[in-house]
Amino acid sequence: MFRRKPKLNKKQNRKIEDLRFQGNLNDDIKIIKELFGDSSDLVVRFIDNEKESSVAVLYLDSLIERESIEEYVISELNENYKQDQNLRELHFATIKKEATSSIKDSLTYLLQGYSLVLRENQTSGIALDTAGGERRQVSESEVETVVRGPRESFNESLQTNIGLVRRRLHTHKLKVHEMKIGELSQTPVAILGIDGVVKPEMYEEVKSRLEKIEIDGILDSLYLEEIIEDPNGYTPFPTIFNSERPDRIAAGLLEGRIAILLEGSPGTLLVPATIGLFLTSNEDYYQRYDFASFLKMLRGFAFFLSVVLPGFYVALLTYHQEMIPTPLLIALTGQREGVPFAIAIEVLFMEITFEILREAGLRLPKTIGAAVSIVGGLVLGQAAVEAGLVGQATVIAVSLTAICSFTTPSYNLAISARLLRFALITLSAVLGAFGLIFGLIFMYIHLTTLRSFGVPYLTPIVPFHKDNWGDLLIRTPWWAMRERPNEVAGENKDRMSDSRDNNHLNRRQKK
Amino acid sequence: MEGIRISSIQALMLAVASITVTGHLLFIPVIINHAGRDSWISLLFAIIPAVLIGFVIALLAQRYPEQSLIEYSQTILGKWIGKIVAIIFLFYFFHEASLSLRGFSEFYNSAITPRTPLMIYLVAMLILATYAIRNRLEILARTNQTFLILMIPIGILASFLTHKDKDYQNLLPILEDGFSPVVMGAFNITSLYSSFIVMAMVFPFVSNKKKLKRFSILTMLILIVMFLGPVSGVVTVFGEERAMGLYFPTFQTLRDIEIGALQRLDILGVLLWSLGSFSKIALFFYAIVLGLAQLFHLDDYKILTIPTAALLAIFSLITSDDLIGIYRFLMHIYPYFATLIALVIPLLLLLISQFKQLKRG
Repeated sequence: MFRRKPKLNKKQNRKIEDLRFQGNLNDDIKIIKELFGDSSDLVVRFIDNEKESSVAVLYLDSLIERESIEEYVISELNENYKQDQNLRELHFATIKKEATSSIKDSLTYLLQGYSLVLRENQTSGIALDTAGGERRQVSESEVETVVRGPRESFNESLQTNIGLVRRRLHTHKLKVHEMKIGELSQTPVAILGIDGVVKPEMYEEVKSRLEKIEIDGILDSLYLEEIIEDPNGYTPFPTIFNSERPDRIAAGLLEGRIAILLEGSPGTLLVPATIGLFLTSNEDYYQRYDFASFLKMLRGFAFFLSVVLPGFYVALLTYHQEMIPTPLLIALTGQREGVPFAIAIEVLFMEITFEILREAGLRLPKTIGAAVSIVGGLVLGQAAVEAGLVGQATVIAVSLTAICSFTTPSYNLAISARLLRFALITLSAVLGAFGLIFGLIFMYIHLTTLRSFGVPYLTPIVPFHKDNWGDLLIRTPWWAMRERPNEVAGENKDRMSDSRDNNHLNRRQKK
Repeated sequence: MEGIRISSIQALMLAVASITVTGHLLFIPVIINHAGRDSWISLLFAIIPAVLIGFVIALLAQRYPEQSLIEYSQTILGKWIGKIVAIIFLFYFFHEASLSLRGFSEFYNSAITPRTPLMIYLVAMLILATYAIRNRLEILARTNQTFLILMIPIGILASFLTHKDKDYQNLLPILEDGFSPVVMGAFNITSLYSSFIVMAMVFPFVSNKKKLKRFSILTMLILIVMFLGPVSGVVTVFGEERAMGLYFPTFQTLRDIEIGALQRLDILGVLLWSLGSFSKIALFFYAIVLGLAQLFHLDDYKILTIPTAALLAIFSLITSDDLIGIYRFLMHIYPYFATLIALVIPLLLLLISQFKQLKRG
């Protein structure tokens, strides 16, 4: 009685795949109109009046560029077709022109902003590229900013984005493989790789993983990222890199990585990703190498601190007071005299407050954001100490951690540090230094097990590749960066010619 | 069973990390108790048996390149006797793992957090080891590789920083009590180094087996060097009598380091021994489960990890009442027990296989 009867949807039973144009203009239009339902943006433009016309243009008003329809399609029809109704060939001056006989294909074209020209007594329509619509301009990246170096960043249009990459790599070897993902969204996705530099099997692997996706819609690259990443089990670490800067993507392509771009999102994926990629800012390659190396080391250290510092603070003050120099210990205890909570509670309280503040700052309009920081900084920081809720040292530890976490160049990795911090605070509160070390060992084993498209996540640390250390904690000068990363790149590992012919290297070695 | 390969350097690092760190923690007091201020001479004496151990294990591994200790003891001795010998080896691994597990927990418990129950440390260590092993040998080797590279600078730094407390007069007079305590100490060191036999479970996965002999002997020499510093350091810093009375003399020397305002670097010791104990326990744990799986022809050892971990925890709790019991065992029984299983039996295996080969050829 309660069993649900399977619904029979008659409309869906009529298979769209089998429908074809019959040559009767009005009937064909009727079928398309029916399929779109009452969509008001489907426009049917007859050249003469509706009854007599033997040609019609169909388009979706929201997706086309009006000028090109007017100029290239309708005027062409008005001028040439009206004079000679029996004209066999119509010459449209649009960039792309496709013939289509199945209704399903025509729908796809219409939905991409093409306009469809149908004629009486003809069983195929002509799809013309008139796509348009409003797009954000290519502008400076707000997330990944640089002092020196290119400023362009991707926008939401796939073709523009591919163009931005192509404009940096003028080679026919840059392969672009396009496909559509999403049962309903039909999002165009492009896989980019440089032939002869990428591992061919990895390129195929990326392709096959993308082809296997079954989902109704893709709205951002994160959808793809979570679906195609290696089955590592649960991990808080990102195993696919993303960036919205074309120069970063081009650099990745030159190293033999593969980029995945998609329509509708500036976030572009780069695989395989290793830990070094996440700790590198694009500016490291645009500043002088000595300073860039310093910054890299500083950033690595800051990242480590941003994970470990609160836990270390808790362990030190809860279990290992003897390790703190005595004068400092006396000062610290003096500050905390009136504080009723355990250190761990204090730190957790401050950390969670900070996370809430940060989230509030993100979600609010920019103008109100400043108010949040005042409330957070002054009221909570200062007043909490004065009210005896937390010690001053705790505030220092937590804010130092926060500042350290801002230095992590990749937002993806910074947020995993945010999560891990809480785990380490808890472990340190329970087991002291051993808890902290336990957490770190566990994390390290976990990192060793991670793989990104088959490439070990921690390379070149383990498996050890000494040639690639020049791009991990330091950056060697450009004339010495002669090889592409092991494990990542394919057969061709040389970025420069052999060292004997390398003029810049030789010039330096002779001295 | 596993399609994985590790490099010979990774294997070397596994052996060095696992033998050194628990050795420093548990065996140095034992050696000092035997040989006193002449412990460093015992170490020099131990070079010969140490090299012999490395040589025997490597030779066996080269003779049966695709087989582990458990498998080739069955090939050499026949099915039934081989199985019995394999079980003896497995018991040895099991005992060794539980001993270092207990040793680490006791160290932590008595030196740093006296009121935390032992069980906490046992379980924490076993969680780490189980996690690493379930991800197979490759992961263990890679993790250990990084840890060892992290540990060596700390060790070297420690020996430099303790230098100002060292008084080399404490090493004199040399050989006051004659040779017998020194030989006893050397015997103890030999028993410690015998745990190199665990590498016989790892060698089948080493990619390049041609250099195994050289690498094994190199490992043993590195081990000797790594023990020279702490053994002499402890005596020179504390003097013979005080050093003999300490439970964890190496940790005590670390504790006395002062760098400016930083006075007690306990946390360095904690880091050092946590990392090292992890390596040792994980390696022996791996040997047990892999050996069990090979003995009973299981396809995968993963299913064995958690029950074995539980058994290890229980066994290391009941193995002794307290730390003194462990030390007494290590001093008076362990040398005979370990040397018999890990040096004499492999030597016999080698001889029998040689004899068989001669008979056949």
